[in-house]
Amino acid sequence: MKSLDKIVNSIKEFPTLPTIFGQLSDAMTDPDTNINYVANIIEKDTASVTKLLKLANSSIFGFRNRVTTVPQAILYLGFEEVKNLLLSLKVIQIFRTKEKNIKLITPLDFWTHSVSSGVIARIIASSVGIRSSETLFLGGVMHNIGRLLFYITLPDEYSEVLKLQKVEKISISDAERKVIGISSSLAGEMLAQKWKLPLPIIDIIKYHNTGTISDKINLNVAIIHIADLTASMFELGSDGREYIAAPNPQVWDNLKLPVNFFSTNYNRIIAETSEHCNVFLSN
Amino acid sequence: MKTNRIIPIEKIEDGMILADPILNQFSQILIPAGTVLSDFHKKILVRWNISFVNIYSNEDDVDIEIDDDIILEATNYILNKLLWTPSNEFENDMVFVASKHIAKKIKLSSENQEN
Repeated sequence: MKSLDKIVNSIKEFPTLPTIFGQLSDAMTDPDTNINYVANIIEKDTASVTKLLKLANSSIFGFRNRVTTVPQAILYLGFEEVKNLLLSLKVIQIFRTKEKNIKLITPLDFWTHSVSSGVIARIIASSVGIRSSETLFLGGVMHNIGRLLFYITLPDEYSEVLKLQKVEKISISDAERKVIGISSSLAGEMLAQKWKLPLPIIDIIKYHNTGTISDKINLNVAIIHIADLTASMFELGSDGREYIAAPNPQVWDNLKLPVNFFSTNYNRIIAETSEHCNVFLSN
Repeated sequence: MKTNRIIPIEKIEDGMILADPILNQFSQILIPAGTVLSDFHKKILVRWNISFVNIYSNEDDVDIEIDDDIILEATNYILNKLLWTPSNEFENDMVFVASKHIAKKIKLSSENQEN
């Protein structure tokens, strides 16, 4: 079977996202929604509730009162944030059930890279004055799902990809195109479509390597482009890449990061990455 | 190793981490320990009339000297991984910070081997 067919079949067999996400989206667009109604939907999934409350009480958010109920969490964090946190947790959980098939990398390293990309994306957002950064954390967690799909579905081909990037000294995406025929961002997009993820997340998955959408700046995509690069440079986890591709110069021009952004935020990046990994990646 | 130091609030920099909680006169927690401080906290601390905070000082940054040759080794290691040459202030800053980070890792792993 050809690589592309294997990928398509694998996506077909992937579990769908639990119905609560559809219900949550509907409830959130309904003008008559109230917190308790949304809380009732979330509370059907007890495992998620435990993690959500753990997150809400971590120093990531730094609330002074203990958050003990789902309605409180929604009140403090907001609908969108809660939905995206639950979505991040769920996607990690779905992939972790398939981890035993992964031999070429350490799955925990892979997720550390993704989570730290999300953390860095949020820090970039706060530095350039973007107030709502809920999408960005989720985008960081999700940006590489296509690559993980490759590791799971095409272990033999991917072992060739990992070798080829070293031998030819090329980026891992170029090696993917040469060996498999498509890049992992395209495979990620296919899975994101199946999961009916929001459009900003699909754009991030599809374009984070180029940093722009057909040469046009999209702020979410640009931020994840830099966050992904930073996580790789700092070796916060690893997605298997040996060489690091160049950042898109157009992105620097448009992001307008503060001077010395990386020196200034280094401690924060390290501290918040370890905090997030503790919550998101513990069993 | 984590140690603490007490600093006046005007010395707070983005990303510093609070080692002790900020309490009010009734010992209720206003800001919990472990909070990553930002400009926002600086402003509310002024409003609350708090002059000093206890923060974690990352010894790796403050006290541990990393030899120049380790930093050089780390910088070369990173530059070898790049398929490009850093060419603006952001890229230079990123490589600089990444080198220090990798240098710390090299130093820690060599210390662990010695022990």
